[in-house]
Amino acid sequence: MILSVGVADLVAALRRHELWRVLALYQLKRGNARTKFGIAWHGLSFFILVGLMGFMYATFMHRPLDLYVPYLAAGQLGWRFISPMITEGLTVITGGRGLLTQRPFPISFLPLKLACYHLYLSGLHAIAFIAILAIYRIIVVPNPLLLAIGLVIVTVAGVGTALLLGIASVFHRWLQNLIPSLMNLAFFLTPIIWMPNMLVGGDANHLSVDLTHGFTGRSTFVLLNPFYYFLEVVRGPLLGYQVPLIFWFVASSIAAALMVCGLLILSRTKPRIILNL
Amino acid sequence: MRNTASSLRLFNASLRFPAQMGRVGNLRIAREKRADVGSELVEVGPGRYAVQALKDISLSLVPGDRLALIGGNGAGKTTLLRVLAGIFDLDSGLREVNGEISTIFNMRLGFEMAETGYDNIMLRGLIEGHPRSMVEMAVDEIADFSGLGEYLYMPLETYSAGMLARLAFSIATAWDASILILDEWIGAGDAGFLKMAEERLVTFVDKVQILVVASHNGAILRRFCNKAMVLAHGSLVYEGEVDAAWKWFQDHQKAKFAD
Repeated sequence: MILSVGVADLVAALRRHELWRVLALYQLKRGNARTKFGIAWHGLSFFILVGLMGFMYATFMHRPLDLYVPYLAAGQLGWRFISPMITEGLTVITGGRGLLTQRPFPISFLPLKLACYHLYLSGLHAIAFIAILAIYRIIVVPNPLLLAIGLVIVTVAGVGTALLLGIASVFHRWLQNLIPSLMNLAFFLTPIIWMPNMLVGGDANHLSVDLTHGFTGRSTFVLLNPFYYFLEVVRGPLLGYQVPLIFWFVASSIAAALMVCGLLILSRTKPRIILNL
Repeated sequence: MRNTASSLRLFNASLRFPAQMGRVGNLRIAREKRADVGSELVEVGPGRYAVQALKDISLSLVPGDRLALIGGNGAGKTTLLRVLAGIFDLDSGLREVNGEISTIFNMRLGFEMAETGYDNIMLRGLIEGHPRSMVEMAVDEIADFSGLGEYLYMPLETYSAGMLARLAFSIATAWDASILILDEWIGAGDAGFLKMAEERLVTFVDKVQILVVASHNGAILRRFCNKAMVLAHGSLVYEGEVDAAWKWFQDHQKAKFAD
């Protein structure tokens, strides 16, 4: 089968979870080594930035705090997982040179470690998220089951993307220069700091895109953005609002497609990857 | 696994490294100056070059074999070791392995300087591919041998270079292997530790079924190996007894400088 090399590699990498979990943890600690609060800084910086940003933007855009602050915080939480899986995914294989040239290692080990690191980081962001809600005295009712499904979808998509882009940029290094700047653009194009219905013109108190008026140019702009689907399957369950079923289908289909593409490129290029590092 | 006979074989193994575009400069003009070192440069397309790191290498190792790899800089020793270890896939030819391979290329591989000695023992054990439970069983022995005592509770950044080397060596030689591949002979520490380290290394090496070691140290190779191969420009140019191979290599080096 054309995917067999890639699948075997992924299975071998999954078996080494003890190692990538440890490495992800050390990476987390390394970021804030020798600071007083250590890894808590990851959460603290999220708390300070998003906490203040929530107040500022709610004021600028005349949104009620109890609607806007959790929306922004949940969106930031999701985006800070999705975006680095792409930007750091680009360098995850080339950056693994030290390990890959010293002993035989499955290539997918590195994307898995990256995803694990960002899940840990998201855990710290989630604590900050709760703290922000507590400060503003806002109560949200998450849906844990749907949240878990949403996390699985974005994680699969993230690992697939990191594998795909990580390998592609071994052979085409310019991707490492181009894509991060495009991701800055994507941040503003995706409904994170703005709410889709401010653009689409639907019910402003409805957090998911309002499609009761059918498809318009503006709603199509929102719906053509793949990042929006991934954000919604995390943000919806986290804030407890209803996400249309079609969003779950689109997000999981793209995630599966990304994983298959990642494994396909891995199967086709595996022997050449290490020689080109 | 320990009881079954290990083997390590290569059939007509060849490997090329692509040279990155834009880095080859005026190579075409400079090609008259043939290098004494390195492997052959081959043109694989217009203005594109590759390093022919290995060319048609065949070898067959069985239990009891202690192979010395001899060669000048860039002759392909390290590449060959990495092929044997399964890190590089071959462009053509076959590699066949029975047994567990253990490599010591970089003793400090994966060390986390901000973590404690104990944490690094676990980390390195996991990198070697051992499950957590197995590493836990070996921790005390490694800690004892390293002689680092209370320092094992301190982060590695507080260690001196010699202390780091002690820890690295103690970990690298902790788990038995059936096939051992060494890039340069290893040793570590001050005079006292060096003697202990050598004893430990000799016991460690004696237990392996197959040993492959690349080194520029003729005395070491003669002491521990029972067969030798000389590499030049990625090809196998001499095969035989260690003494004879070493002498052959020395004579050829001299002849080159006499030219």
